[in-house]
Amino acid sequence: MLPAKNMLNSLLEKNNTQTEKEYNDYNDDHDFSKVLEFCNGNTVHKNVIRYSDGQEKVFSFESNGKEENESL
Amino acid sequence: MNHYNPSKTYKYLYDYIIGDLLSQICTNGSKFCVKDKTTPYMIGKKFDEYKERASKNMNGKRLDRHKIASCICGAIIEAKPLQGFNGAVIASNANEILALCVGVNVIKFYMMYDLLHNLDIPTSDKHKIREYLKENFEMEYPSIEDNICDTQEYQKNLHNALYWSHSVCTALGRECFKYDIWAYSKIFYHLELFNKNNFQKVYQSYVQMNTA
Repeated sequence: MLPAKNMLNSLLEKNNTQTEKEYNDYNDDHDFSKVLEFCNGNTVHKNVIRYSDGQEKVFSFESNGKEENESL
Repeated sequence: MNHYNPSKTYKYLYDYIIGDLLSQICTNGSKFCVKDKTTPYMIGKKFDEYKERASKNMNGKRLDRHKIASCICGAIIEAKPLQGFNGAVIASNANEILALCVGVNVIKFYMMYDLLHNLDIPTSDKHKIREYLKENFEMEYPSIEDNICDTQEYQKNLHNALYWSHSVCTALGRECFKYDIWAYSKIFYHLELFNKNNFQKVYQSYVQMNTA
């Protein structure tokens, strides 16, 4: 026989306790905006991107302020 | 795109990760470019859609890191921001390569946050460590030697898996396996586990450098 202790335990548990609500995940991680703000020192880099028409532009949402979209 | 108002989460995601990577890829002299100025919004719209769909199946207040990584990965695959500049031929899975890199960088920032926000040290020291980790820690994948039966590298397999999960269905009218937010979030979970030791090593190298 194949060892299947984990599977059997899981089946037993779920048989008695699982409700539809409990199928959902319970994760509650850190706020991603705070993570990125913290890890980047709240400094948005001026990323220059080339578009298919050849124009190179600085674009950012400025995260917490107004959008920036300027030609070089 | 006029009626789409990007979420705060997406704005941060774009400004700190996606924009950074796109600017490294789509530079003067490279063969890559971004489709057009609506592209950041197209990615964001897809991301916010995925995020909302995933949130409906959550009991927690917000999505965890692996699901955020998975949502943005799927959004980039759908939005396909990268193109060949002036008709240049680029890898057919270029957007999947970018998508995976954005996803693992989401995980990287969380790993940095986990470590740093609990450290009982002055803020200025935290900033130094943060900058060191940002510069020196790059998420890795299992090496070819670690492979069980594959003949090519793990990340190449993953790029291809992402490509076949969605990318070609609309373009070629072939079967689409559908991008699976949940399955890929588990892959990001395992990639975080895989990188924990390496992350600690990079952090320890900083500590040693500063105590020597």
